[in-house]
Amino acid sequence: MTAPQKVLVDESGRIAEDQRALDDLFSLTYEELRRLASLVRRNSNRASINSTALVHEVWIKLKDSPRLVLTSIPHFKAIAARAMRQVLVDEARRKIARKRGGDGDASFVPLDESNEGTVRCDAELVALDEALNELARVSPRQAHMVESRFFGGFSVAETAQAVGMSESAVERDWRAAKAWLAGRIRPRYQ
Amino acid sequence: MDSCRWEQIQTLFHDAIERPEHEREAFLECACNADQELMAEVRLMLQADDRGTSPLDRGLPDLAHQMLAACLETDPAREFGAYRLTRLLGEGGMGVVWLAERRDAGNLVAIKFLPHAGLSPARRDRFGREIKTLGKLKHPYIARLYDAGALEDGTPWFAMEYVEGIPLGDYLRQRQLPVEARLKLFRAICTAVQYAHGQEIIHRDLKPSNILVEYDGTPRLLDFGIARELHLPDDSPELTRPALRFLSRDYAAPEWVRDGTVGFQTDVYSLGVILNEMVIQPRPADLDILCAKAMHQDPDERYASVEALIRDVDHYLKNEPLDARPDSWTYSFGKFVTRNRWTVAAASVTFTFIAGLSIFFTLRLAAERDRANHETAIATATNRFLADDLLARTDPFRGDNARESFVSVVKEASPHIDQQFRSEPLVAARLHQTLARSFDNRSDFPQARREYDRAGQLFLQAEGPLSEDAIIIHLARAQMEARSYEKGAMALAKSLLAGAGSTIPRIRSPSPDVEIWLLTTRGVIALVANDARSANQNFAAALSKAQSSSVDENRRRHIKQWLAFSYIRLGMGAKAETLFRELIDEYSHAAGSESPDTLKARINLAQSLYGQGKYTEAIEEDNRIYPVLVRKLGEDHETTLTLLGSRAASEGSLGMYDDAIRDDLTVYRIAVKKQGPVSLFSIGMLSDAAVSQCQAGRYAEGEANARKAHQEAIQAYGPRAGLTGGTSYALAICLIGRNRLDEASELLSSIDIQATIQMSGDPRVAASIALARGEIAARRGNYALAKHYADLAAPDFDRPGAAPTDVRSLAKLRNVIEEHRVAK
Repeated sequence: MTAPQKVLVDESGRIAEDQRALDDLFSLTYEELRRLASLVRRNSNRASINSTALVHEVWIKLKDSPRLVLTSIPHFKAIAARAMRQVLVDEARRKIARKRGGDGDASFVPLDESNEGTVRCDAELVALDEALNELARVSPRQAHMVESRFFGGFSVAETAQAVGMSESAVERDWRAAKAWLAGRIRPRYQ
Repeated sequence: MDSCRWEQIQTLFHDAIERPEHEREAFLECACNADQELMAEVRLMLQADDRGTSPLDRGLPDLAHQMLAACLETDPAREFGAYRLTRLLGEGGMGVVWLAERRDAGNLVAIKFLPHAGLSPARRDRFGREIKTLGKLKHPYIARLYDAGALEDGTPWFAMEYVEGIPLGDYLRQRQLPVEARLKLFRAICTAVQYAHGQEIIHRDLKPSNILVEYDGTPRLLDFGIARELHLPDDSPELTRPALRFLSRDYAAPEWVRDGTVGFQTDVYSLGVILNEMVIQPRPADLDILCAKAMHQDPDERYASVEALIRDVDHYLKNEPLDARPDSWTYSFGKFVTRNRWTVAAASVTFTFIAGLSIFFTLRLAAERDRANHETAIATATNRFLADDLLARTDPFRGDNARESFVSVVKEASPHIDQQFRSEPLVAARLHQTLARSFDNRSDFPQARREYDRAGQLFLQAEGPLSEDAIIIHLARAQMEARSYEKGAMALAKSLLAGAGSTIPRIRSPSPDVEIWLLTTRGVIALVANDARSANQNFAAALSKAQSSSVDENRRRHIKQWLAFSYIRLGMGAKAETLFRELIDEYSHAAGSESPDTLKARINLAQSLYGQGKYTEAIEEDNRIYPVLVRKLGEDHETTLTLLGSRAASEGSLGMYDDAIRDDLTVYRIAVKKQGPVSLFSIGMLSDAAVSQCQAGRYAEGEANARKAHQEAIQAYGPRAGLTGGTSYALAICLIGRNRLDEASELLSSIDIQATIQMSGDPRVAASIALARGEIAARRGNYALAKHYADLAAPDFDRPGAAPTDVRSLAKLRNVIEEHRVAK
């Protein structure tokens, strides 16, 4: 699995030149995500944990890093969003694959696989990923927007800035993309 | 679907949602133009939009929870390899840890897994490195590695010793341990880190949650996840920098956070923060110093090693001076007697004051200084006074058990040092050095020599013939010899200095510290040898070097103090005054306006004012210091008495006889009570009081007091002693006033001028005697002889800044001579 490279392909400029730094960023995001997960699990105040805060925190930790020549917060956030998407989708795929073929003894994750919500979640994520890829083919801008907002916690204003559109246009695009993606995901698994 | 189609879908969607719900279906039928697929797509979107149940409406935390946290749910029956997992112990970004049982042996182990290892090579590498690191470490306070491997899906794992303990923070909260117990626990933690450093492994993530404490109080270090082996190139500092990890920055050394610099000091910093939290305020000042040194922002200012940190923890536990302030002898001195800190600190005050100039036991011969012989006189006086009189006779510890505890602590400590620190010769060497300094400070020269020698030997053995520590010991010893004023000591001091001076050039790049020591030692020896100019140059050079390098502030101030003394000897009182004022500001800022160091500097300032003839200012300064000393030390403490004597000298010089007499007699009464009638203080002050009384015309009281002082001085110290000389002068002054000229003349002849100058530190002894002789001659009608004596005294008393009383006496004598000449 070469998840970081996927990020690398999508991003350009100096960051893309540094595979190692990207790997760092990627594992960082990953670890932060796990931390977040465990916080949720411990019944922490869920409302206080959102992807915006999460990405911001990661940014705070990374911004002084000389080797990660991050030029801007939006740029970084875009990477972080992609990394998060990658992490979640990879995990969902692993779970589905294991359910299909694994005997359970050979792998670590001791899941209670009867949990319906989890199963649905796995499938939904994979479906979302596929649908996003499809959307990216017809409208890269909107796919990027979804990725930024959902996985990266971008606000409407930040998204507008990142894609160079008005906020109302972003709201419009977002609403359509969201509805379309929902339609792509739900019918198959409901 | 292509872009065009997608635009079509979106346009329809937006158009539809702008219409009322019941009109939408009709709109779609019409707009889609029988394109069923298109219509279905938009219809689906509208439904999703209405329901608001898109997965995108759920937050990321929810998803993250389902995706990642779920994998941590437990399956107690789970087995793999030789292990059966029992329960989840912990989780974090860097892995999850399970309690497991070995199926064959039945013992419990902790197993750490790295889930999703494949997602990032960096994570995998790091996990592998942790296994290697742990494999190298075998220490009772470090959880041991047993086994390692990978699951079939590639998830790496390792099994380590299961520690049945609780995190350090919780442990401390649960048990209300006294400071000492906390320090011992901390020390144990330090030894584990020190051991790891010995294996060239730096932990880099020391924090309370990574330290478990077992029920019996044994600490165990965990999580070498980002430990680094020194001899391996650090593949990617970024990879392990705290910025990239979820380390708490609270425990991460600033230079590491900043630029990735890693060394032993990285862990020292974390340990410092941990200690700071383990021993919370309020706590003894020494622990503040210790924590501050360990947590210093500048790694070079931190303890250089965990060994050094442990050393100071030990010092603290044993009530010994910390190395954290190795250059502050006042501090070393005081720390030995925590039970009576102020007494000892005050003893240091007295010491420096005396070493500085000290003319409190003035014969009130005058107050200005002479250029030529003055330096010699003061240097000699200072040293003899210090070595023979003050430290031998005035005992700042008398009246309490502090002296006993000081001596017993030190004497007990020394023989155990070598045995206890056999494996740590540098620790032993430092201890001997500290002891040496303490003995040195209280002028116990034979003991100090023994300790210096031992420290020097140990440093040489441990660090080789070019050991800078050994050189510094030599130089410290040389300074001590010079100050000791013992027979042959000066020659020894000079040869030690020469030895150090010839060794230092052989060191490839000598540290500023050793060079500063060399310069300071040259200065001290020059000062003692009455070469004030050379002393001044050396101190100035030492100070400039100390300012340009990162030398301890206290050390720098100490040098500044010496420089100020050298200015006094050069007769440049104004420069000394400036320096003392700066020192007062600095010390006040660093330790408060009433700290021992600040007071010491203020006393010295008052002395420099007195030395410049600024009597009024000197008295004002004395008046400010006096209540503080009374409050801190009590009114019968030697330092307080010294100050009072000093004030009396200024008052006498201004002709404020009543004030001077009051102060002198106060000191006298207390001195008699504390030290008996035959002591330097008692006799000296009585004699001073007598001079003032007779000068004020109170001849009966004055003569009685002077006679008493004189007799006791002769009995105790002999007729030629400096102290006896002072009392002879006092008595002579009173007798002249009563016109008993023969007896007065005889007394003046008996004075050993050189000894008296040494004793009093006042170079105008001869001039004062000449003036007295002149008065006798005039009273006898021998005006030619009177003029001769007046001329002898003139150079001392005609100078600006001379004491008004002396100026007046000389003027009076000249008037008498002049009247006679005119009458004739």
